[in-house]
Amino acid sequence: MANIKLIKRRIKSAQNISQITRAMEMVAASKMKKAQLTALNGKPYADKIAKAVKELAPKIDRHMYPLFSLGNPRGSKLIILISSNKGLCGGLNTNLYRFLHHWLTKEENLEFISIGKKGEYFVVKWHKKLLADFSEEPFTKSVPAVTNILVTGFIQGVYREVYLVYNNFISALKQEPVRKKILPIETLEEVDVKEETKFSEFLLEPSPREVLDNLLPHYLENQVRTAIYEAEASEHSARMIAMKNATDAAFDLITDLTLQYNKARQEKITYEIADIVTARLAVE
Amino acid sequence: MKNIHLEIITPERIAFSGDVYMISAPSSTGRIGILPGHIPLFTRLIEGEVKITKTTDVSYLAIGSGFLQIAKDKAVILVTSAYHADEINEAEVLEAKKRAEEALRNKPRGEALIAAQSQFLRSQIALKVLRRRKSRLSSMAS
Repeated sequence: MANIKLIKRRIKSAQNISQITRAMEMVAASKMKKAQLTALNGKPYADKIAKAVKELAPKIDRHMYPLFSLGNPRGSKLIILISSNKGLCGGLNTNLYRFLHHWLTKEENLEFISIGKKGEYFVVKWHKKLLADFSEEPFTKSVPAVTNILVTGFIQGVYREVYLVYNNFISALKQEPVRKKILPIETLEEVDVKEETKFSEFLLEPSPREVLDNLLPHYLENQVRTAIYEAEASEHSARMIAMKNATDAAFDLITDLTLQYNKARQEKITYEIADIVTARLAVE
Repeated sequence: MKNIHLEIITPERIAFSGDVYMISAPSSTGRIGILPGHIPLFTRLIEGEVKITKTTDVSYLAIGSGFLQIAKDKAVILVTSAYHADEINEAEVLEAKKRAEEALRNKPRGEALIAAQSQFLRSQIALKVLRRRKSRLSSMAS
C-alpha cells in the first residue's frame, strides 16, 4: 500500500507548513504592534505641523512661495507608490494595484517613484515611467531623498500634482488603498482656530520667508513619513491575517488527510485479516 | 505665579508636557527667552539646548532643529529630536564625538562634511546638557 506512505508524507509536509506559517504570523503580529505604535506616536507631531501649514497657507501671498503655487498645468503627475518589499501578505498589494488601475484609466503624463520592490515590479510591468525606486529598508531612511525629488521637481514646474498612494491602516483586519494629494498644498477647509490666535497676528521670525522655506519641506517630509508608517502597519497586519489563514488551512488539510490515512490503514488491516482467514480455510 | 504650558513634540513621542515659568530656546537668530504673556510667535529653532525653568527647578533638553510656536499661554516646540539629560548615554556620546572628530580630520567634502559637522555639533550639545545636570547635582549635594 504505497498510498499510506504517500498520505503520511503529505501530513508531514502540511504540518511543517503550518509550523512555518504560525511562526510568520507571530512575527508579523509583533511587527504590527511596533509599527502601530510608531504610527500612533508620530501622530501629534504630524498633526501640529499640518495644522501650522494649514493656518499659515491662507495668510500669505501664494505667488511668493514656489511650494505654495498651484503647479504647472502642463506638468505631469507624480505618484509615490508605497508598497512592500516582500509578498505573502494576501491581497494587500493587489488591491493597491487595482486601485491605481481604476483611478488612472485615462492616458496621462504619469511618473512614479516606488517605495517597496513589489510596487517597482508593478510599475515596470505596467509600462509606466519609473523615476526612482527607494526600496532599501528601513523605508523611512529614504524620506529626505524622496522629498527632495518632489520638491525640486515641483518648483521647476515638472509636476502638476504629487500624490502618495499607499494602504491606509484602519484596523488589524482592514486596510484600504488611499491616495493623498500632497502638492500643490491646498487652501484647506477652514480650520478651527477659535481658541488659538490666528496666524495673521503671529510674528514670524526671523522672516516669513525663512520660516516657510524651512517649514514646507519639513511638512512634506512628514507627510511622506506618516504614509510610510501607515503602509508598514498595513503590511504587517495583512501578513498576519494571511498567515493565520494559511495556518488554519493547513490544519484543515491535516484533519482531512489524517482521516484518509486512518481509513486506508483500517482497510489494509481488514484485507490482511481476510487473507489470513481465507488462507486458513484453504489449508483445512 | 503665572505659567505657560509647554509641549515638546518629536516625530517619535511627546518629550515634555507641562506648565513652566520660563523657556529659553535657540532660535535661528539667537537664543530667545519666553515668559508667560509672550506675543504670538512662530520661529525656527536650530540644534541646541532648551532650558526649562519651573518654580522650583531648572531642566535642560538637547534638541534637534525644528520650530517654536507660541499662542496665548501655550508654547509648542516641534523638533526632530529631544532628549532629557538622563536619557543621554555619556559613553555613547563621547564615542560619537570621537567618530565625528576623526571623520573631520580626514577633510571630507560635500555631504560627508555636513554629516560629520552636524554629528559633532549634536554630540557637543548633548555633552553640554549632561555637564549642566552634573554640576547641578554636585551643587545640590554640597
